[in-house]
Amino acid sequence: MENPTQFDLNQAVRQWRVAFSGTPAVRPSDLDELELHLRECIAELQGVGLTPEEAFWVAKNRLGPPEPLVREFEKVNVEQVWLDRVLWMIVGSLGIGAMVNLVSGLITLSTVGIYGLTKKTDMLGPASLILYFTGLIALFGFLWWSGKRRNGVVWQSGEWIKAHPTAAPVAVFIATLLFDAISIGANMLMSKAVPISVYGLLIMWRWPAAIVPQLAWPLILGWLLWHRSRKVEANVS
Amino acid sequence: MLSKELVAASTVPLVLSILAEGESYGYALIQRVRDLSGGRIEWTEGMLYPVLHWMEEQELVESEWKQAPSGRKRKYYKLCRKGTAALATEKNQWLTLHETFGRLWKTQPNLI
Repeated sequence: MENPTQFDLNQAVRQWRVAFSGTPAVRPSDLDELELHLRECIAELQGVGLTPEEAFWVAKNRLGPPEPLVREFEKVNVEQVWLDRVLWMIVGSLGIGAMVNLVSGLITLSTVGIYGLTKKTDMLGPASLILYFTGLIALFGFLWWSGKRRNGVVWQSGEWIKAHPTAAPVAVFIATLLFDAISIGANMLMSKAVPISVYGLLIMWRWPAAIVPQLAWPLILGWLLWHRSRKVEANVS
Repeated sequence: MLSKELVAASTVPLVLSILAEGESYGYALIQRVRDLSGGRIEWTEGMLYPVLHWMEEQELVESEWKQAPSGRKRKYYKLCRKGTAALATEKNQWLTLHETFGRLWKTQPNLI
């Protein structure tokens, strides 16, 4: 427990502010206004004799918990919320596409490497396919596992993106281009580095690699929606 | 003391009426309502701000950040042309209700 005489008002207000700031419906200027209100209330309470800590807690209670307030802001700020959702939808689908490209590019490069080292072609097709699926499963497995952890890479990236509203789109754009370039570059390298017959063989083997994710997405989406509706039922009951 | 529905219905006309006297900011509006009603109307403090935001979107009011004498920056709101028109409409509606209740309850409406 902290020493009461070391109550840091600014720190407390900052933490309070974080509780209200998780949503696009409450704009930074709205937050500023709410914070100002809080501080005026605190100043008034200190004026009648409360300590800073007491004043903070009373003022905080008077303003109320974030949930009802955020809901009201969401009702008023419908467009803002939608823009934000559309943004994340686009970022999500571009991001996934870019990451699949990255895996694809890396697998292609390793396939070329294997051929370069062994000069054997008989198992190259199946090996490439297996590597590809392993790569995809590893990528999404990592994202799933990391996304569940508070300080994992996924969370930190999300926080960084939210904290840098101008730099983030540029960074995402560059990353997407980069991953696409890796994939295209790898394919070009492959076409130059292996004999045409091997290239044709590899392409044939990679067809299922292109189709399976397309089929997997509806399945994954369906599962996620079903899982979510079960959780909603559980919360309601 | 007032029901939730009455608070919801009366917030906009109250804000419009107070702003008709001159520009003001959120905290002061809440104080004014409390003083005018003798403490009987207590708004849940944060809830005023989404309403102000909505009123600004509807162009009933406009806002400006200004430096208060205390050095603090405050968001001041003032009535727009549409707001003045809206206030007239609200006044009409509330006074109609007021007169009707007055006749029913046989009390003399305290005309301002």
